[in-house]
Amino acid sequence: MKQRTKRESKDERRRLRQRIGLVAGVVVFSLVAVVARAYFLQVVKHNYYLARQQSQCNSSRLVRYKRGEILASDGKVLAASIKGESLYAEPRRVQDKRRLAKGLAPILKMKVSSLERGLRGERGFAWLKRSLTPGQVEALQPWCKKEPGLAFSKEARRIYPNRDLAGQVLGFTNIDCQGQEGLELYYDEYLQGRQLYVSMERDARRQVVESSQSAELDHLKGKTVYLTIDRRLQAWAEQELETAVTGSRGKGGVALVMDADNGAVLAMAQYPRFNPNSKRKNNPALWRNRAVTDLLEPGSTLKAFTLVAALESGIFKIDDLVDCEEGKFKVGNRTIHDTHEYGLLRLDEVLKYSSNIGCSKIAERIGAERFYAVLKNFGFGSHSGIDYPHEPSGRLRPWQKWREIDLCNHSFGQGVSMTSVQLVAAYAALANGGHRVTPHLVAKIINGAGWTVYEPPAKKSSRVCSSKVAQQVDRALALVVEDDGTAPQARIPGFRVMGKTGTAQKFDFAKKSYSHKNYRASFVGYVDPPKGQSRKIVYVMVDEPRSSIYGGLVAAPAFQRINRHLLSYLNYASQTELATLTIPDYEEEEAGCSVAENGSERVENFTGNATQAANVMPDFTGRTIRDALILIGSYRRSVKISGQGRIVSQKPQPGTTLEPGLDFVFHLSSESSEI
Amino acid sequence: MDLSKRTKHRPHQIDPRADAFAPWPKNYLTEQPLDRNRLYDFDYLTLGLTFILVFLGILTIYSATYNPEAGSWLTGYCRKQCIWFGISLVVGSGLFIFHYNFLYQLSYPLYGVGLILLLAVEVAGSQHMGATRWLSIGGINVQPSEFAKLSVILALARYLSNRSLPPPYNLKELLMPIIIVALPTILILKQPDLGTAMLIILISGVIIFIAGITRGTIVTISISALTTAFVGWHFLHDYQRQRILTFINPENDPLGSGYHIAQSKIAIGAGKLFGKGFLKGTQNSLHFLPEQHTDFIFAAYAEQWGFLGTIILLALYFAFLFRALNIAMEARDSFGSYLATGIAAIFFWQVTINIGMVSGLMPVVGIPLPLFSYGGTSMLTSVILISILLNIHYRRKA
Repeated sequence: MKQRTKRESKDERRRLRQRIGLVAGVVVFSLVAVVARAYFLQVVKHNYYLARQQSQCNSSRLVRYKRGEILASDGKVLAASIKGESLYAEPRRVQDKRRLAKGLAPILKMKVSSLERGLRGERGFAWLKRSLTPGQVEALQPWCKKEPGLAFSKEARRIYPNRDLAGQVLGFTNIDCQGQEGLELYYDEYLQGRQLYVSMERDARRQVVESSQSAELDHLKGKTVYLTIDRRLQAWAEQELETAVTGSRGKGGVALVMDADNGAVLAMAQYPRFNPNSKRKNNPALWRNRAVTDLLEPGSTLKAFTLVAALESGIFKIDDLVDCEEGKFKVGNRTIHDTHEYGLLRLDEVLKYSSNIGCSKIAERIGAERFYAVLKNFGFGSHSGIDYPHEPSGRLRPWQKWREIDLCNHSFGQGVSMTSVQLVAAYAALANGGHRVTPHLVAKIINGAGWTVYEPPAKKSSRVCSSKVAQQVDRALALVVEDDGTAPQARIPGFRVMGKTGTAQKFDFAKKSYSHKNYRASFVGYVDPPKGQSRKIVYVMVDEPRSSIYGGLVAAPAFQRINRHLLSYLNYASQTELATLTIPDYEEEEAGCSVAENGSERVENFTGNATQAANVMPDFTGRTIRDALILIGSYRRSVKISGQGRIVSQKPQPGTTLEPGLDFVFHLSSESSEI
Repeated sequence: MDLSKRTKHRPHQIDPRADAFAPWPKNYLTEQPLDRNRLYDFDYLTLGLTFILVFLGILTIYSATYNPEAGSWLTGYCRKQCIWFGISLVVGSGLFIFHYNFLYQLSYPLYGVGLILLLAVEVAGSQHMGATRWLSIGGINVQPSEFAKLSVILALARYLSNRSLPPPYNLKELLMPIIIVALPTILILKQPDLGTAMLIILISGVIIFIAGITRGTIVTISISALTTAFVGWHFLHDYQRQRILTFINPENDPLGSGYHIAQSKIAIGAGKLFGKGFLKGTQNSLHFLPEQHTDFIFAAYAEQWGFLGTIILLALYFAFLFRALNIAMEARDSFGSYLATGIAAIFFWQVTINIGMVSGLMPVVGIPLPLFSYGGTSMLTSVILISILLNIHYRRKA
């Protein structure tokens, strides 16, 4: 090995150090360069780079927060928003479009051609079907796994768990959850969740990074609307109305229950019914809430206000006599008829027997101006102010334009028109002792924080007639239900019932005269509740009844039955005192809509026919848990339920013979529900 | 410079006390490295700087690969880096026991091994991202080019310290060193790994410069280097040319090759004076920054700690570099000096090129930030180099 020199000369060493020092100089130079570069980037150009960073990772997206719920007065859900699945396709990724369209058509219940149109082209996105049912989602799963260009997207959708209960009152929303009709439209501003551009971070793959900030904020969600509508009363009213309409082979009808003291509408029923869950299938004519939107001539139900005018004017006293001309009375070139021939009648008897001639004579005595003033005071010819869209004002021409025959016609309810709500509101004023009320459907609106953000305007105290007159009219109305009155069928044993029948000829616009075939039979009235309670106006109107035309025969029985429900429900009478009727059951549109908390209660109430109940276990797949519970009720020992939504699997298997004491297990699909 | 001395008087060759400083000290194995009397000889500063840099690096790797859903601290890259640091410490400590003259003896054999490994890569290397750089030995991927760096500076230091002629050297005398450098460089260029090849040339350049070369040589080399650059342009791979072009104007291709630099500049620039704070860097958490835990880790660091953090990091690195050059000055013999300078040069060029590249001053070449970037081989090599540095310092008097 070559000998290595260990110690260089001092000179050599010094030069080495010099050169290393030179290298150190280069190091210092590059240090300065790098620091200068960092200073340039991080301090001088900081704003530029920060802006570039923000522009590439910040973006905003329109977020629509959840729409508020509509609840009945008992807090049960009438309308709610859930997240439903919608199916979309990426047409450019679909290989065999025809095969896919053919496969999907039966599941989606759509035409192959329209599906193919949806899949056409090289687009990146196309809705195929929105708002799928849980069953459809289940059936589509295998397709989505096979086909890369097919996927689900969660979308909010509006559901009405009680199906057609108060369907017209609630109205509906469009697919984007914006109110279109009914209360959904009127209170849209409150119900609608806020729409906000929420800023969010996107990563380099342009995907949204979920941050904790995007959590749902309560105050951005839609507000909760509490109705004055009582679910049970509504159901009873709808049921009794249906009985009345179908029983008289009528075209349709309206029933209303209103609190006379504050104008709160407790039930607003309509027949034919309307299910807002499936609005496309229904006739748009059904969307209309006729109690609010339809003007009609009230007929004899207006006579109560003729009596009020008579007594208020001071010209008449309640026991004054009016000559009813034995059924025929000529006014100008027209003749007014009564159904029966009456001679001299007391004022209250005019109402009891509903004499047109009596009313005409009274009206002629008090004069058009005073009569008009009373009608106007009770709200006829104007808006009632109900919180519902599209309310027309009633039609009541100014008294100066009345001819003599108009005065007479108006006195028994012809030639003036009003909505059912306006008539009921006027009766409410009469029933509460003479104060106008504003009808309303919403009790309160509550925001996410639990604060009340809206309440109906306070009770109007403007007096429209003296309480003495109101009491006198009460007494006269009570005569109506006597044996020889027009509506003995409205009577309820043990209670003082007041009311007035109406049998209004419909105006035939084609013939420009009153029809002799088409009538509206109505009854409006109230029952004296225990002291301290408010009266509830109940109104029933049947359009074009055929079996009979008279309000006393067609509408009064329904009035009586609704009142019986009402009285027992409000505990004014014991259950045994009145015939009890069960609440009609409203099966949910689909299990995904079912509201868990009232599920059990509704099952107990169910009295439907479980006709399938042979001794064999049916196949419940795709059906609701309620169906299953009803059927197996008698066998039930233990039932295990898991998940929510529709049944996807069951034990025992379909076809198994059922024996008492079996254990049941049901698995529900958890896909769909999320209220 | 006195040229007469060069031929006539060679004092460095004739030393009466040469035997006392035998190249192979008899006690190199028996000597007790941790002799209590010599504790003050140990370079605590360099060791301390190493630990601080590695710690900062692990913190940054943690933040750069941070995923809120993933479990604890010591998972993934972070954990691997800690393990590699541990292994490196063991290897480095083991090396420290031996006198560094041991490396003098082993330098040529190691150089040979390095060449063989590079040839092995050529034959049986594993392909990764278009380049064959890795060699799989018993399941562990090693990068022979990392090892080649070390073997080249060892061979150079030995050759230059063992020259009979005194410096400065002319081009003819530098023929052998140039061959020593050229052989592995060509093999590495074939992988292709432009960055490492360039790095080896630069490091070797520093060592040769330190050993002393004539001015004429410097001029000749500069001219030939420029000529080579022009000619070499035509032999460059497309992606390498692209990198150089986008370096000149990254905005040309912001989504393609310019993307790396544009994004890292945005990250650094977004940091401002005091940075966004630990784990607050959006640039890496949203995956805009590529290679955010390896080559581009400086950008992730700078976004979180700002200009102040950058200055602190650079201060740490350059304190380390000056310390290394100081060790080179104080070394016992020229082999130690050249070796220490070579080690300092490795760190200097890697730090400068990496930070220059990330901040848009230099083209993108795949060179990690030593001690900081994630990577086992890089960590092991760096710690071994520091161990040698400490060794040279510790034995500067004997």
